[in-house]
Amino acid sequence: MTGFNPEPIVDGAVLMPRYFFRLSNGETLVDHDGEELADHDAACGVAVEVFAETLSSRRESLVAGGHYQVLVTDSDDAEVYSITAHGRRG
Amino acid sequence: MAAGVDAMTSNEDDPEVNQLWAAMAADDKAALRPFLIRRYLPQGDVVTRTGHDVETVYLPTTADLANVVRFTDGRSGMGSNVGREGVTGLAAFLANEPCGWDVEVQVAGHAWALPAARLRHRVHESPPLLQLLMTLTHNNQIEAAQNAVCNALHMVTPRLARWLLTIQDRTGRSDFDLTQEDLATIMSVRRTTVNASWQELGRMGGIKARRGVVKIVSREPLERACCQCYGELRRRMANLG
Repeated sequence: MTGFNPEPIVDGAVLMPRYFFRLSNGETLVDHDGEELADHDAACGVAVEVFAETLSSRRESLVAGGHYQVLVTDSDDAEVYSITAHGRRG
Repeated sequence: MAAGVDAMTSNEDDPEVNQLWAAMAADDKAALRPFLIRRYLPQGDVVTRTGHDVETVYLPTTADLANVVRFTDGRSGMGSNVGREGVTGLAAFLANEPCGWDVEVQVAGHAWALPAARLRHRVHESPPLLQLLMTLTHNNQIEAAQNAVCNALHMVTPRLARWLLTIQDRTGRSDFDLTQEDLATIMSVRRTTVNASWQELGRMGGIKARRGVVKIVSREPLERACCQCYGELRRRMANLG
């Protein structure tokens, strides 16, 4: 990701932006707490790791042709990144 | 924060609550009891660091300590944990070698501290005590092997259910001051992944969780959700008593 400006320095510490991760396979699992991460790139990387860690728990619905998505938003609820799996039988 | 001496005592914190202590012969207890000090271990304290000698061993009663492996990129995870069924730093102590991991308090509570030198002196005099510690080391080996394969093959929700059942067994408690970040370190996964499992176990009626506190409300849903490792370890680990 480009064009991201770090938050201002306060008392010598850089305030990191907070990102929220929603998991969805028909119903959405919300993330109330979010997570402070260095920048958009870090948030995208975390999304990929979460996707990998949770994908196999969606096995049944994906085998049945469902989808599964990890969506990242920032503190303004703007979409930062998403990664999606679709199950499709030939 | 350093571990502090706590003058308060309760039945729950009698050394006999610790299963290793309870299994020791009367003459071993008599030799070691004068050197036991009851301590409160705050969450996050590291009582033994990687590469350091085990100077003090802890026999937990209500605390639980994790053997944590750290990577240079800042990530870390729990290899195994020690509660009232055992003692910290055992393998390194027996081998008289530096500890192979950080021993970190994951659930705050009480433990009985014993200078390693005193325990070593007693082990040299007492073959039954050495045998007891070797049996516990064998149990720890079984658990470490099970954990390694469990972490590789089992999904996070069953692993989290197993950990919650185990931690209740090892602390005698149902409420834990643990954030999703704490559980992420314990499970070696991302916080969001823990959030998903946390909500799933909550829907099943196993836990109630609000920010920073996890409460086990019913073991039955957790026993349904957990992987087979929980039952396997209970069957295969030797009874110290």
